[in-house]
Amino acid sequence: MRAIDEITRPLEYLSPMDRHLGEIIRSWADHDVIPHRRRYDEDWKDHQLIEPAFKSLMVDLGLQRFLFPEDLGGMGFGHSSYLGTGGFRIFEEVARADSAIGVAAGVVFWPLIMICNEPHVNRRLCEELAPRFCDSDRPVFAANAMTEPQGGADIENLDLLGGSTIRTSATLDGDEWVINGHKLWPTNSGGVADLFGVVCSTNPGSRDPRDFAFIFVPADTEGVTQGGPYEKAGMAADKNSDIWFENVRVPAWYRAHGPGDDYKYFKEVVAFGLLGSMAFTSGVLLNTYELLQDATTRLRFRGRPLKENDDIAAGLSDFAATLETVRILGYQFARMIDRRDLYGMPWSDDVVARGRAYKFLTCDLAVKSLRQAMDLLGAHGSDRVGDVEKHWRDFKIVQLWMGGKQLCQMEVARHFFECETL
Amino acid sequence: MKDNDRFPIPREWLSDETVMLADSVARWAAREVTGRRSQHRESYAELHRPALASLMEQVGLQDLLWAEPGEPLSATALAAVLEQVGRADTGLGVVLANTAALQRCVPSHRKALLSERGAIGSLVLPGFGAEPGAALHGLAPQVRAQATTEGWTLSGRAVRPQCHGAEATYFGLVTELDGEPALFAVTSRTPGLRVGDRFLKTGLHASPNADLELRGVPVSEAELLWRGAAPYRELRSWYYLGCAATASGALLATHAILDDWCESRVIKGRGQPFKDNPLVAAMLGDIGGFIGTGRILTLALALALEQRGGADEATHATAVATARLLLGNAMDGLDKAMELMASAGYATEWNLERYWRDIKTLSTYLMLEIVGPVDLARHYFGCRNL
Repeated sequence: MRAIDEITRPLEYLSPMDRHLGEIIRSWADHDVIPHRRRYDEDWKDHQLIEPAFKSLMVDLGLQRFLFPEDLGGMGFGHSSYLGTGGFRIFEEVARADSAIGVAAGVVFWPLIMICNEPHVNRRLCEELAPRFCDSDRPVFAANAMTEPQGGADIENLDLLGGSTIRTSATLDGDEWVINGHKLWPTNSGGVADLFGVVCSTNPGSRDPRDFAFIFVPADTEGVTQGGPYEKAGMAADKNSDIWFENVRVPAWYRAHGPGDDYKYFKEVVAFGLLGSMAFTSGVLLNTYELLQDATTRLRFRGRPLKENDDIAAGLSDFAATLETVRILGYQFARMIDRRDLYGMPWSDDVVARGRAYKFLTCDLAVKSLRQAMDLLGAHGSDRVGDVEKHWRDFKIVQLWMGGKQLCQMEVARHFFECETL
Repeated sequence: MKDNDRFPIPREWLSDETVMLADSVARWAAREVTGRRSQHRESYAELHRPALASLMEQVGLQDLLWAEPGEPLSATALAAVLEQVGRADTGLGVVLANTAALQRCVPSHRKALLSERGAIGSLVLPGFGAEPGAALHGLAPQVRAQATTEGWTLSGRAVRPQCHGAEATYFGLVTELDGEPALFAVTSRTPGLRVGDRFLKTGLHASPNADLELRGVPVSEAELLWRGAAPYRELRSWYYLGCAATASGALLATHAILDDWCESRVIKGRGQPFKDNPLVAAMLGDIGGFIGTGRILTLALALALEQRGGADEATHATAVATARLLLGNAMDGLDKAMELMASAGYATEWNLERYWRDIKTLSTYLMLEIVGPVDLARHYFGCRNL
């Protein structure tokens, strides 16, 4: 039987650590997650089953030290020219086991991209925050507090709205920022987060990029309230909730960079969100491929293995074509992020627009393929023990987040067709 | 605006009694299901079981389904009822679709076997298996019949009912006798039949399911309801009608949820109402089209069943095509609705995701994406060796 490692990716792009990283995470997935994941749905609120998997990944394997510089106890990937491809491999393998763990672990780094990545490292903030992640014997989570009740994905629609819909305010009072606002849905909220990266405005209603601010707020700061986790269709390992910031005070230097640069580098955060989404897509499809290989060999239809029927084989062929396409596109985007000399900076409109295009296409293909995979298994396709249905339920929100397909489409049209009024 | 005004169907297709009955079921749904959902979520014991009992006894579906000696519920009335039930809860619709299909296809002299008050039936249809049945188009009977001097014994392991295995009163077991499809009915209390543990599945929580094990369950002519290709087609035609109507109801619920959600939303920070954005509107339009055409197609199938019965190949093909289209459109519509509502659609609070899980679960049980196209080709293009 073919192994998932035979699914194509551009071998000439890969990180020198690719095999090592892949083997470590796959071993973690096979031992710590896959045998237990079908019970995760009932654990969505308490995370008693899920927590040990986080601990072994984030603490024992050290993933929560991923981005920080080596001299601060980190792995130094923020300085690496293989951050894209290396990160893609890691999160592809994590999502092969559970895409919700993938997003929860990935979002730990999401706000930290603002300060850990070359060439815009904020050394003072790295020194301030690194001990939380690098010297801890428990999983430590960060969250990007972006979405607000009134606007949904408007926050991420920077090119059109320029941050003008952000109502969470940051007011400088002496040497402190005072933050007030209400955020929804960040991954790793619901009581999980230790640190928030808060998207806010120093002048609500303004379209001036200099008024866009990205400020770090430790979750235990007075005035921060996290609501209880939402109950969802899937993604049990990822908790989401409302968060309120009421007269929350943090030092002025907790702002990631400053006027103009916060706005600029936040687009890199978007680019990495798109990359992560594609890694989750690839990982989910890789595991579904494994599950389908087994099921379509074992199940029999018309007196032969399911996969030996022409009509079924056509559907399996569509699945394989999707998997190949998704994986190649994902690694291509990872390479674009790594090779700034060839493709431009990861916060550039060129890179972000291509990421949007690849993300919505790969997600659409994956949603269709997962639907089809469930159908191929007949009455067992919706069995919770089968895991394919878990991937289908979990994955749907990967398609929906970051503005969903529709925001991606508008950004792609704006870029490739120079639409001016969308 | 009422559903019938927004998504009109030819009024002459429905009798006054059917319209009144559908209204009555809609009131039951509001009172017993949607009105209690926020409190009881997807609890079978607290929400679905009492709601089902109320529908059968207080609304009177028990007597309408098993009318003796009067006329049983017509196909159009059944479709109208199941649309309203499916609008409230897809799982309840599927449970009733099973019971109704069995009721319609049982010879009148055998109905006493199944008409115990409050009885819920579940179909056991062929599935994947090593030994395909001669007349089951590549699928294998989940239950095998072995002839004895007094009748047959039925055997099968990991037998998966279409619904409600953990709670059903009786099972309609499709098997083969002498190369012909055959249907036996056995109660869940039959010696030799063991109901397994309730298992977890994607959706349809109103239908707690469990696999069965039959170890040489003795049956006689009394439990043999029919044999032959025609009644097998008839059984599936009626079942597909029930499932199509249920899916139509799920689409109506999708419309209601989405319409409510869109009402207060703006887009692009400009105060533009969400649903007045052309891209959003295009997606809403697709969903509306699915509902409008789906309702008409479902009722057209019901009329065909009333006029021709469901046993002929042409009507059966129409039933396959209609159910496959309705289920596919319901899934597409729910996927699009969830894209529009984004995280709100994914959270349980708005109830959309429940229909999304339910419809997908039903789709896997029906297997129409696997056997449907070939069933249709067999009829429409005369493929005889498939």
